[in-house]
Amino acid sequence: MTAWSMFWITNGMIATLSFYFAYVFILKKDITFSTKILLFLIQLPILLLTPTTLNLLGFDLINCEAIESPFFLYYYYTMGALAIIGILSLLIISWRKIDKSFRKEVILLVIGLEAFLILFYFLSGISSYLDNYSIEFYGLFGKLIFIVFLAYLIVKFEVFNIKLLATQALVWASVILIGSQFFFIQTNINRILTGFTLVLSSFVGWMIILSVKKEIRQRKEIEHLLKIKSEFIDIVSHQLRTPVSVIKGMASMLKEGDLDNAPKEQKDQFVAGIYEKSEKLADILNDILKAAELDMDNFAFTPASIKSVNLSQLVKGIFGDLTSLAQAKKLNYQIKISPDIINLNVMTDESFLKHVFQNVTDNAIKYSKEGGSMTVDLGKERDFIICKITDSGIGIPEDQKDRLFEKFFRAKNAVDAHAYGTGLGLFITKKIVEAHPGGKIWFDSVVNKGTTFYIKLPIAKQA
Amino acid sequence: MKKLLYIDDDQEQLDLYKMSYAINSPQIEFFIERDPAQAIARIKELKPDIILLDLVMTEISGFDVLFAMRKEADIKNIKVVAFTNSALTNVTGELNKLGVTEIWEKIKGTPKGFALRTNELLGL
Repeated sequence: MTAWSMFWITNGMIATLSFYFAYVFILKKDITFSTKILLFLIQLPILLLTPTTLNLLGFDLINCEAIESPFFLYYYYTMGALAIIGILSLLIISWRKIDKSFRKEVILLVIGLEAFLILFYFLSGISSYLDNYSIEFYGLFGKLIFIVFLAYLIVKFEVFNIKLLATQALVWASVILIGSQFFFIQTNINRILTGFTLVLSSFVGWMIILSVKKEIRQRKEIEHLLKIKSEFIDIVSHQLRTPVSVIKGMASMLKEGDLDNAPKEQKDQFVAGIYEKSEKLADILNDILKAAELDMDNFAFTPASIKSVNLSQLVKGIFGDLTSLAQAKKLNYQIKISPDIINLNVMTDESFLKHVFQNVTDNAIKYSKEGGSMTVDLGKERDFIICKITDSGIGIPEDQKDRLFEKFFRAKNAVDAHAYGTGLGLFITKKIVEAHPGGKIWFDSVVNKGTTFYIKLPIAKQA
Repeated sequence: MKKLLYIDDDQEQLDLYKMSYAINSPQIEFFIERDPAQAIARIKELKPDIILLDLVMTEISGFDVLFAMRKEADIKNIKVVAFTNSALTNVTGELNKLGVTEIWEKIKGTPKGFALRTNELLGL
């Protein structure tokens, strides 16, 4: 009878745990606590009713068959049906949210899981209904199908961390094996020795699991770094090659005498072009070097370069420098400076801080639509100056907000709007802002409506 | 007169190569298109003998233009030269599948060299 009870309990759990597994796999997050409670409540009647006569009405000793309770059967099959429908619904509802590169894995897992559940519950139900249990065992083939799909996912897509799973399985198996000896050993000395071995094995096993986890984490970090490196090469090579190819092209035309008969203005235009492209090249190289300098964990300004800088004057200066760009786009271009901050200073490295406001203001103009608006607003909040830079630009897509300050990252719509850019500007900006005590940069953004960047910098103490 | 259409969103490069072709390939009529969104319409209108196609452009890439071109019966057989500043580490195979005639990296040649090679490709 005990074995029969366990059979119901584990079979009921197959439905709930299959749904749980599918949810975590598809959405890559744990279910909420309330959903866990709900799954437990669905499971609860089986747990409560298993010891009662509602589980088994009796046992036919002559034919050696259990007499099952119809209530229990219906409940059990309903759970199976709910899991089958639930997993399929989950797939349909979440389809758009699933990353395209991950969809193949999800489809394979769902097919495997559904094949298993359908065969398992359907054949079990049919066999109960027909009172012919010989076909019930074919339901177990569902498990085989699921294992085949799971194995394919592991081998082909490295979906699960099989190394970690294998280590954990080995450690648990060893601990259970050693622990199980307590049921057989008779003498105290044996109990002490086994207890000691159990504790030691558990500790060593735990250490092994930790080291495997660490190795896996390091491997992922290396993969991430290699991906960044590859992105770096792609972006930088294009950004550097563009001005170089123009400089080379212009210089070669001058060298080969293609412009010998051209008017002087045209030759001058070529020389100016070479100069302008050289400047652009120098800017890109400076950005790369600055990013490398700032990429250190404990970046700090050189003490000798720190001085008290009037922030409103600095921002006003940059705002003025970029007016012609804003005018070219017919922007409603405004600066608002709260009177209480006009005389306030920030202890900073001025050249670095200029870069911050140049970058954010330039971006705001660059990504604003023609005829839109752009406002710089400087105010005070306790011991900090808050600078708000608001544009009516393309905005930042919701799914890319988390990556905006990453090195070499450019949002998809930014690349579409401006193909050229290193993706270093905001990375450098954030590092510089955070090099000030309490310095912070963040943003609000709605796609196609605009973005507001907030820069918070500490006010220098008055001498 | 053979017709060449150069599609690129960088005005400086358009001007540079236009001038070089005027000097080194006078038998080629040189047209430019700066807006990649208009590229297909322009190709259909001009029916050029050869296209120089930049790959990295705003909004619509050279690949998008090439994909769209190869689906249009009246323009799908036009010679296309992929003309780029990108590192072509992963895209050469794809470009060849799309039937580009040649792949030129802007940084590896000179405007005169490209113009003379175009003459050869057009049998001039």
